[in-house]
Amino acid sequence: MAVYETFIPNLSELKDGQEQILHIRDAENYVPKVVKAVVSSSPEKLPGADILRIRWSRGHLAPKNWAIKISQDLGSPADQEPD
Amino acid sequence: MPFPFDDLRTFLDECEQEGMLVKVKKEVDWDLEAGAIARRLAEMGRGKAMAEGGSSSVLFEKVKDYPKGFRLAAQIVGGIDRAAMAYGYDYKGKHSSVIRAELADIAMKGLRKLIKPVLVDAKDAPCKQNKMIGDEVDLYKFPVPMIHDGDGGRYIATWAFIATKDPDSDWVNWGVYRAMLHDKKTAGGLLEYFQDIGRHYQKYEAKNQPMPFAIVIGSDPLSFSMGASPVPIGMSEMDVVGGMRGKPLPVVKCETNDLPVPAGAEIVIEGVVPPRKRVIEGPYGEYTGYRAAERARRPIYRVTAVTYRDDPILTFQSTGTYLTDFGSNFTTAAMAVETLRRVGIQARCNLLPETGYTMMVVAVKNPSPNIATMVKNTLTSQMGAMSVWTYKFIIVNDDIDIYDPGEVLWAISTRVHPRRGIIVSDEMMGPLTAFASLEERQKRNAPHATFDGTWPLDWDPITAVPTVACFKALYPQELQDKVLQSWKGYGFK
Repeated sequence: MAVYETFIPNLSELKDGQEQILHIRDAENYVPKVVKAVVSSSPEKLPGADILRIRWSRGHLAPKNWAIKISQDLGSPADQEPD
Repeated sequence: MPFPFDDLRTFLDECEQEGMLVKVKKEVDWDLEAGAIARRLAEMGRGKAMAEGGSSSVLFEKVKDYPKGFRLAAQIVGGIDRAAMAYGYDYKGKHSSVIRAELADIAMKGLRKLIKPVLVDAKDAPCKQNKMIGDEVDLYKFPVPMIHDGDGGRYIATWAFIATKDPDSDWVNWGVYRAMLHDKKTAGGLLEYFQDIGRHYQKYEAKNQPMPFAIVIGSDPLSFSMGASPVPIGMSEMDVVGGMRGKPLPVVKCETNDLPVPAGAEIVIEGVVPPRKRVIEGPYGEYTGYRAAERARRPIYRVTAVTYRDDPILTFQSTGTYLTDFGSNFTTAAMAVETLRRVGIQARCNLLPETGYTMMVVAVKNPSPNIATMVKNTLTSQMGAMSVWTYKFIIVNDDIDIYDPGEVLWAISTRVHPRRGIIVSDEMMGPLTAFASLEERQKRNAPHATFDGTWPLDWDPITAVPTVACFKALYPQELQDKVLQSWKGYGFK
């Protein structure tokens, strides 16, 4: 089970149970990427999902992990639009 | 002492000989462990000389997940003793107040007598020993540290400077600006329009052109110190470095652009900053002692080539409370003295490292009416970006030791009238300002405070100005001389 992190200013940025585009990073190597994924505040509702840790805008870790199921890797945050 | 130091390695060798460097042979994790060690060193040492209980510089020789030879180093100029060495000053046996004043004088000499660098061939440049060009580029080849838990990413440029060139002149700027990895060929960081790199970038953006850059990691300590100093707009830091060295700095041209970089640098990352492209960056624990700036969309560095020395040393700072580098405030202080001198104010200046360079103390020799406001306005209007990062100004009479934080605190507490001695003015401010609200940080607008600790000019010096109760003021000169001459005879050291 992989572990990812995302930075958000508040929980309203996450659409519980729905697919959305999200900036995340791999929690082991901190490689950032943009993904299309379903996130859930209740991991049991998303079987086979990976762990999503939430960090607030200045880096504080939220106490409760969410779950994330990635459907598409959209690549580096620097490549989302042409230069 | 083999001054001037042409590269980092000769400086670290000298540090090792002087007992100021610890080479950690035990494997250390790039993921937070190296940063934690460097942070603890900074907090334990607080910039003091090793002989006064300061902390050593550190070279991590074995980094987890990385091949032999790929090393990390931190706390390079982590104490006043190393700053003195970097400046070529014989500091041994001297009080830190004397050292700081002397280093400011050395910086001033460099500013007044610029010496242009000497361009060397690539074959003579150690920074060209290895190359990654185009598709070969992979910034993850280096043990880029995750410095603080909760930072926005791995920061490759912290003890590093970024070179850019004004498109309309020969002015090459070196400045210290952080850069975080986005992917193996891209980094990004804080780049403000009021910084010299921002001035250059605006011109390229106006023409919709990419701006060439070079990130220089692991330069000689003087080059880094000047990169971190606010030298006048239009003046190239490498010329000041030459002036301070007393001879030209060897530089070499980049592979994919014409920017000159120190030939002895450990790692050089070249590329372009695309116009009008922004990617989310941050947060990052900064030198002010906080993680204050918002996570925001900021310019990026697209990498076209990387060159590096054999067994490269990636230098970093675990920035936070208590400064991690003490080389640059002397140049700022020297420039402040010169700036004030040009308008007729004779003063000594100290940018207090204890405050993360956010506070400047100015001791005025020739106070005049409204001197505090005059000093502050002169410095902030003529020293460019310094005023954005320095927002507390303490103006005192010349009897205060501006290098002693305790004495400065005493002067603030006892000489600044709470009602008429604190002047607040609205100014442009950087995003790292901790006391500013989120809105103020986003708008780059928050107040400065000037504390007037000078005695009012209409106070009679005999009947109204309080007498300082100290050795020099309360004992006849003859007795002072006798006590000092007999000091060891009394049994004191």
